[in-house]
Amino acid sequence: MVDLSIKLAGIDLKSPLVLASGTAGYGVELASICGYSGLGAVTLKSLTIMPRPGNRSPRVWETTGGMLNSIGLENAGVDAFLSDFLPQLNELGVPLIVSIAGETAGEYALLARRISGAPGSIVAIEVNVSCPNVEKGGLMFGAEPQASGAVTSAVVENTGLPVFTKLSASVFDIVRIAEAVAAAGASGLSLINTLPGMAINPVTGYPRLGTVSGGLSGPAIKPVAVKAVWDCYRATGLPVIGGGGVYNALDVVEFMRAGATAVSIGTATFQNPCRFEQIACELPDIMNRTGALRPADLVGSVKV
Amino acid sequence: MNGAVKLSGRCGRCRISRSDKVAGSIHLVELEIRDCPVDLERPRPGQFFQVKCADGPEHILRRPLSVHGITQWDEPGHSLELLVEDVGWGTHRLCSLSVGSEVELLGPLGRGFEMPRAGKALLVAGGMGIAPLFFMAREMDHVDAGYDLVAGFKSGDCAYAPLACLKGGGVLCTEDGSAGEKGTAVGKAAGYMERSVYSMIYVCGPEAMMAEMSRLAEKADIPCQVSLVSRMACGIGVCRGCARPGRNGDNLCVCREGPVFDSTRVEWICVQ
Repeated sequence: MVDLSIKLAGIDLKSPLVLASGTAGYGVELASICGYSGLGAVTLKSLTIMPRPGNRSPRVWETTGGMLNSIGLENAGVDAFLSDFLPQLNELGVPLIVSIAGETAGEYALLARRISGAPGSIVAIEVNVSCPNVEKGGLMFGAEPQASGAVTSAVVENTGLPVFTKLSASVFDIVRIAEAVAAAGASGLSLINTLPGMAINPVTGYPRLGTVSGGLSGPAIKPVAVKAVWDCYRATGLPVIGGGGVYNALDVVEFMRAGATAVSIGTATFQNPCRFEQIACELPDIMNRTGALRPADLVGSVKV
Repeated sequence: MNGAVKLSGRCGRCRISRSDKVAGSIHLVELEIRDCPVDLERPRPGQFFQVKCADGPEHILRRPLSVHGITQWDEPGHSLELLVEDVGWGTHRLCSLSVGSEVELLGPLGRGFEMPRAGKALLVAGGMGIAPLFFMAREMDHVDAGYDLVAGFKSGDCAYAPLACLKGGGVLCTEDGSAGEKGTAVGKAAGYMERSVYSMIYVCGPEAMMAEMSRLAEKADIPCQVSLVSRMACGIGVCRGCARPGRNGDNLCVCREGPVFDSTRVEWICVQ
């Protein structure tokens, strides 16, 4: 009998399956269509201090084995989240990972304080460092080790919750960034964010997205994500929430083999909002085939 | 059309019972609900289904398709009609599926048209905008509501509007005059508005056409409901992929708050 429960940076979760930020809204929308049984936690869409309207449309485009998006962090802002959504979420009883995004390290610190003071189901903070650092000419925080570490420190110093920094794999050396984040006190890593991509209508010549380019997600990016998880797990030993193109339970086990303690399901939710339930049903059988009794047996078990 | 929408969509597999090319690249696909394991709610005009055009990880996103009609919904063997234009990978595959093939649906989703409470309505369709408005006309026939339907197309080879089976008045027009009367949907609708009194206008079609119809309706002080088109991923309001600006500085989440909106809420996007 397979036991799906895990311990993720000290948090007890009943399943290794986590919904990825941006693909589960504020968590309340999916709850009305599928229950959250079989799920470890839901990562909410990134919150900013002020509400953000997001980018111009079109914001999504399907590609082979994936999709491009440029939502632009549209969200209601942290205050509206705490007053309008969190009470409903607390009633659902599902553990929440709250993703935060800022334009300065100070904004991340403020967000961490606001989130940490909230009552209820929040079990961790995910730090979205794929945002432009306005104090450094708009370069993405996650593009270099020092800024990634600084933002992580700002969050860690302002919360008692476990902190997972979500890294982009579209960098020169993700391991150096992972090490900087580890040194800054992160409890774990979340890997990977979308990869930059672009599509053009060949006939009209217009870009498919209103913002010209966007982030690629879905099964097409899975090998990139598996390598990032393996590299960062091996270098830092930190617990990893791994994902990028997870489509079925075999993918979940593949990410565990690479070093993921928990595995996030993202774009696949768009094909079927209840995909995670199907994966949760398939997972015990796949684990049985590996001989593993619990997810922890598989973490980092790639034979190299 | 205010307030939160309770999400009612459910997944179910249905069997294609008919698939006919009805004009140019437009196919009428009929789905049999009889063997669908989940009871699908009765769709309302303007609502849509997220249709999975293929299984597997190669094509992740569903295609949002407006309901074109329903038959014998409360009896065994009821079916759902979708009007599908073959414009890309997903719709092409859907149009290519043979009778007997299974398709997975999620829905019905979104907010549909509100029925007029009194008076006569004007329904204005441009191109594939006929899909929800033809359904609307048939639903209005059921309750003996009065309406005129204007169905405009570029040309006769892409024109599909079987007006003869409707009780209301109506006209099919094409820009080049190759079928029906010559003229645009907006031009014909303006003519109808001069000759008759309408209590409500319903519009679905290309952005520029809907923008122009909204201006006419607002100028004549007639409430106008428009059904918007937007590229979307989830169809249930979680990804915000379909959101577009509203006139009051807000965002309109097309899949969940729409696709039907009061025209005064919509900020029209300049069409290139």
